[in-house]
Amino acid sequence: MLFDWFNKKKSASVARDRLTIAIMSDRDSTSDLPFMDDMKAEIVEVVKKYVGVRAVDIRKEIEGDFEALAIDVELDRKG
Amino acid sequence: MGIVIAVISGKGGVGKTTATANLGLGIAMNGKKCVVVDFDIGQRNLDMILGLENRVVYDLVQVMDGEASVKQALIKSKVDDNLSFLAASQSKDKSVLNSQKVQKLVQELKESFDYVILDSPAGIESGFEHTIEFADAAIIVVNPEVSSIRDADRAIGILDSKSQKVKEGAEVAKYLIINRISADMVQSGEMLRSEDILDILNIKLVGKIPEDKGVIDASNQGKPIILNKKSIAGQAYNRISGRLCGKKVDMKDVEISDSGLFQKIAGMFK
Repeated sequence: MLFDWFNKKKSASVARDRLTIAIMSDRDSTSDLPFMDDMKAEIVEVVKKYVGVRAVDIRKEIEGDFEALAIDVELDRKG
Repeated sequence: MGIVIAVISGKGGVGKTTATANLGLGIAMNGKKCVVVDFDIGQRNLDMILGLENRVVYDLVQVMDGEASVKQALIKSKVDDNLSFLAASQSKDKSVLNSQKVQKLVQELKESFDYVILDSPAGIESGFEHTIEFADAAIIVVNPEVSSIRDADRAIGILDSKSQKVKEGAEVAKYLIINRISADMVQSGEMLRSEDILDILNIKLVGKIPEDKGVIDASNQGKPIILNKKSIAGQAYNRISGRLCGKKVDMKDVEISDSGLFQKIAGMFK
């Protein structure tokens, strides 16, 4: 009984853990990056100067404290 | 040229309008010319908190539509000469705002005031976006509670992408106010600590406001709590106002209740 009481996680720390996960996933969604379409178009323009481009895909990736934009450029072989 | 500060929250009911009123008055009491503008079109409230509801003749929308001049619409506070107020329209809805009109008004206010404080509507829709669009800085008000913090993070995300300053490559300054902190609950582990909130939201703290029953009493009377020198929330607003005016004011730890501290000290001599 007493043991249970000591082991019970305080609700503030539960809140902190739940929030951390919820906010990470909120931020992860690309809807948070309204400039995404413009950025894609610009990247295509730059790469196009040198080589043919078929598609560009940009994702936001979060790992621990690090946030990164993963950019995949699919080349057009014919170009 | 004055500085434009948007007061935002994401979630409603966290004390955004109360904060706007108190900080506006606090800044004015620091000797700066300050105007507070209610951008919550259709849900006018700032006038009540400031006790100025009977003096509203013209509102924000009428000024934007050219039906009244800024000068005609501004209401001077009786408490402090440095504080002026511009009311929201009660009859219209948020869709009447547009970027050009907002920019023109904000520009005009910046020319005659040191601080222009915009009380944003709750939510993250167009009314909110118009409030942050031309702001130099934003004050984000949260309660130490999960839904408030999550919604604030969404609002900050939009601020970071839609503000004019960010579009120009600059940064919009962001300051957090944690409102309604209950020291006892923080101490017993039932309320999020401010360090945790800052960690999660990753922004700077400008002040913590302890829970204070006097806040409702103050809004009942239309006399902002900052005027009550004995109130712990009023004192907190006073400290934040000082910081916003460039004064160095130490951060008081409102998460330790005085009684708790007393008990601890008393306990040492047992």
